[in-house]
Amino acid sequence: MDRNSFISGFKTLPWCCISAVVIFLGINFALSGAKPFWRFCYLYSDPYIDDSIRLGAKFALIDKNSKKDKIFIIGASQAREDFDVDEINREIEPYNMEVFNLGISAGQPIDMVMLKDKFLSYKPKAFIYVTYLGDFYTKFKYTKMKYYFNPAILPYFAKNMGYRVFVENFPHFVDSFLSMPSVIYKYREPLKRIIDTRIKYFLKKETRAAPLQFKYDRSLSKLYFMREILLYRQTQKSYFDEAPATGFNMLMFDKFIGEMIGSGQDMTVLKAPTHPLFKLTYNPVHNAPFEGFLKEEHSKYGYDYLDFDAMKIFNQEDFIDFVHLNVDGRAKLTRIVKKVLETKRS
Amino acid sequence: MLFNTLQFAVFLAIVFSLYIILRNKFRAQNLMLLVASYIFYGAWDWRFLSLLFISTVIDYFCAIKISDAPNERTRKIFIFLTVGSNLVILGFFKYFGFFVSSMTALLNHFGLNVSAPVLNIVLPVGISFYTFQSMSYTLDVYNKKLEPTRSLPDFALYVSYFPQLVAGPIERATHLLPQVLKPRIMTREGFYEGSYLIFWGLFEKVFIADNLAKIADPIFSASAPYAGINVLIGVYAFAFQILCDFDGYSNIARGLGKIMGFDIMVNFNLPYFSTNPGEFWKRWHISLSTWLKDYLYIPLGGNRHGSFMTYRNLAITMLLGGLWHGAQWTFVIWGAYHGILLIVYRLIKPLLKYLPQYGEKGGFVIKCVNMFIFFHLVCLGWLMFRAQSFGQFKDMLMSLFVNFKFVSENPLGLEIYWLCFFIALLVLIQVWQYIKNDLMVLYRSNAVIKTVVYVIMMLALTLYGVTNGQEFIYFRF
Repeated sequence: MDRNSFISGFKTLPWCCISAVVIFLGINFALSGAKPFWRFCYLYSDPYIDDSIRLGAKFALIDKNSKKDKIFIIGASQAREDFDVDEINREIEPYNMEVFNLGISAGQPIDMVMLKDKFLSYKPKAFIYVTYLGDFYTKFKYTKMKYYFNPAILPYFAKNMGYRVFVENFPHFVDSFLSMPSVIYKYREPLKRIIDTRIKYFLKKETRAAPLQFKYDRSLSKLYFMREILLYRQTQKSYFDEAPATGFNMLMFDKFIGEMIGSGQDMTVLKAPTHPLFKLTYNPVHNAPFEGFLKEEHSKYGYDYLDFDAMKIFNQEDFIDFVHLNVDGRAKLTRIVKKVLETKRS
Repeated sequence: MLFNTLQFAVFLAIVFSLYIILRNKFRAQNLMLLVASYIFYGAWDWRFLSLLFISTVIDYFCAIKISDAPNERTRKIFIFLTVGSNLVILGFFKYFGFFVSSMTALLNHFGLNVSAPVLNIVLPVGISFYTFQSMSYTLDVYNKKLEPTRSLPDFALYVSYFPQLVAGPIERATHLLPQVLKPRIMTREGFYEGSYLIFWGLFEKVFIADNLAKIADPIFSASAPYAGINVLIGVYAFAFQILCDFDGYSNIARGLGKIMGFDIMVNFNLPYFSTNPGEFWKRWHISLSTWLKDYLYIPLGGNRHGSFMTYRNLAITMLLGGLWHGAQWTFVIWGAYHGILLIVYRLIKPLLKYLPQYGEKGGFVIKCVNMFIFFHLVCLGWLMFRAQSFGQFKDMLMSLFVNFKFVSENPLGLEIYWLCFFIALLVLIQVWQYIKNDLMVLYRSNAVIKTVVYVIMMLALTLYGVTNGQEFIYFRF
């Protein structure tokens, strides 16, 4: 009796729906491993707004079986913008090393912890972690969380931010879970832009510009710097300020560095160069705790640490805005990193 | 709380779970559904729950009084009381501002400087739908088509049943109330059909309607001069947007009902396949058109008192039908336009039989031509409906018929391609539904076709579904 009713129940299951879901997931799975798809995405994406899918593409295009030692430059947009990876790779080729730039716009230590397993799955040899005040003193972007999401972060959110964070950001957490099995859903916004762009080129509605490597290729006027400083003076409000996740980010930075060093990674932390006037755009009370924290971490873990603000190598002409280098600055920093890598190898 | 939001998904999961737990106690199910429906409605603005409640209580008691009335005079007093109170509530919240501003404009036109009192009245969501639904109950009791229910919670559930509370279908008491009053049977087949309807409805709303809104909205929010090609694309986009927005809502409502064992009426039956205005109104917003027919057109005399009275009755019905949609002159003109279409069709209908007959194949071609022509007449109506003012409608009309330009100063991007892309699957499926005369043709089709279409729909929804909870157009009516 039971057996018969089980068979009859089995037959009446919505098999078309189940098959459709399986095929849909299969398509997503196939795409996530398809290098032509990722090449296409990288080629037609815009570094200005699509850096989430570009990171996905960079990961997908890394040759896991390469015999070269992989060095990952990670961190926020400074990591992405301040280094010319092609130049570094040309110079360090004899050392059997290859550098990958995996910087992400507004990436914070919370994101790095979420990405940790992904980084390690490529068996890198060393990490260069580029950090600055904004990694800790800006609001965490829950809207971008789905791109880097790893459920292992949830207990840390609960412990450090309280359970309210799940209620307040419920749609973003759900979105992150939904994005896990579907690469199309995860990257739907950049994908739509890419398809739109591709169709425009195809129909000759737009002419294709030269592909961009960096977001910040134009220089901002001097007025921009004055205006930002004045704005802060008048309003006392800044993009860089104590945020709900500031303490959590510090804990995550400590966790990330600790676990990386624990797993035998060679870690170099760079305090990213900032414009000499940057400190006039936010409340200076944040400087001491931030710098103290980095020094404390340095003495705790003993990683290589370079503070470019303290070194005073960069001047106003090297910056495109307060926190990103221009072409000249990029060339300077690239040379320094090259030397660091050469020293490490020798 | 919108159907296309995460908030609603959570709400639904809780309601369905409780509904299943209470499956052997239908009264308890009714109470739970009533509470859920009030929470659903209160999520917009809890203050408007009082209006819903007042309307429910008045109609409930008046219906009993009408049924128990010892004489015709008492029956009439209570039917006037119930219809009057409903219309007063509806009139005040929906039309007060419109009438005051129209009157002020008219008086100022005649040189009497009058300033209108400023009252910022917020339109309660779905008021036109539940008011009409509730009124149909007392009118049916008055017409002795229905015995009044003696259970206030059951009646309150009939008025406020959440799947169709805010945008219909406007269910008749003769159809929905008996389902409330007896235990529902939840079946596996009902669950599958309901889930299919919800999926298809969401696809219509989230993939088609919300994406077409991105094409139509900028065109209608631009200022004159307009290029004919832009207006044409805007109108086509809006024609499919409003169909998919409203049909999508109705399908989700039907699907939710089906899962719970309720049968909610079909509200749209391939309206753009109509060949004449009479057929269109049998296919478009069926619950409203039949309501207007039964409670307005027929009581006015219908077609029983000669041609002139029939035309008058049609004109009044369609004008009020237009006004039902909103307190705006463009809606009134839209209603009048459809009234004229119906009258003209009635006038020329006797002449159509003199047209030459072309056999089966020729007849099919003629039918397609008729559909094409009538679709464009409907689109003309949508231009009035969507235009933000009479002035904009006039300018757009001129750009279509007097000074048509293929090229505009604001050059078209990919709108025309996206328009075709977003409606392609809908058109294919609707043609199939029309040929097979079955709205569930996809659901009943063979496994391979069904699976392929489901995969396409999933991919389309995943990539292009608008997930930020766009409001349904008919919520504002």
